[in-house]
Amino acid sequence: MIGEKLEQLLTAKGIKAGTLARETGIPKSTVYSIIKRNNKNVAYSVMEKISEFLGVPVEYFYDSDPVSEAPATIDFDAFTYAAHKYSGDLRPEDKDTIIKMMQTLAAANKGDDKHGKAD
Amino acid sequence: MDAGVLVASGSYHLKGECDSVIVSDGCHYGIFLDIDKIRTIAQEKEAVAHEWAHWISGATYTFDAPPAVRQKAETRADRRQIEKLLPFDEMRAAMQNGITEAWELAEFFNVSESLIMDAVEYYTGPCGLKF
Repeated sequence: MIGEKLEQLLTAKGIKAGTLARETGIPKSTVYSIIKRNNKNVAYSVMEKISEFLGVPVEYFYDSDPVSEAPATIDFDAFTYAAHKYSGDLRPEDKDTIIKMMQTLAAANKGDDKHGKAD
Repeated sequence: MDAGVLVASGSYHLKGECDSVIVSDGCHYGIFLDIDKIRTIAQEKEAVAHEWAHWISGATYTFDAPPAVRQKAETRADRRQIEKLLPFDEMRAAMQNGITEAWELAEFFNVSESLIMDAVEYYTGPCGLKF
């Protein structure tokens, strides 16, 4: 699940995998291996670098919360949104972006609820 | 996450001037700020306040909401945003102290001139107040 969590976090933050590799000094092949092959055998020190760059605790990637299940279980009809300075109907690509935001929120809530911190 | 509100930023490439979005499942809220569109502290403050206003007033809408519903929610958020960043009493006090030009008020409150103009229009129009 490390790869899925990393990909989801990169999407949420608008950071490309190549940028992550360049800024952390981690080989691109390693970054892509984590993301595409969901490689679980990545060195802890590598995940520490990634975590530091992305501003999350390294435990985020090792937490057993089924973050990746969020998109499959999310009920989009249960979500609402509001977009600042957006006139007219949503473009398909913008709807996709907002759906990803909803997935991010749902994933965050899964972890939050599990730890009893939700309001 | 704090009090059910997730705040994140990134490059979202949404249409036009859209610089922020709030999503909600009815219980939790997520505020997403587009770092490519937000260029000043004032703009960031306004975007956060606007999304906060959606949150505090529960003014969000579904994907298939008609334009009139979306507009009502945006108007409600715009008004709460103004009340948060530019309270009427504080604006009036500033004006009474000689800060009367839009650009002066914008600098004083660290917001955009357009928000100052919106606030004046809101307070003197729908609210029926006088500075």
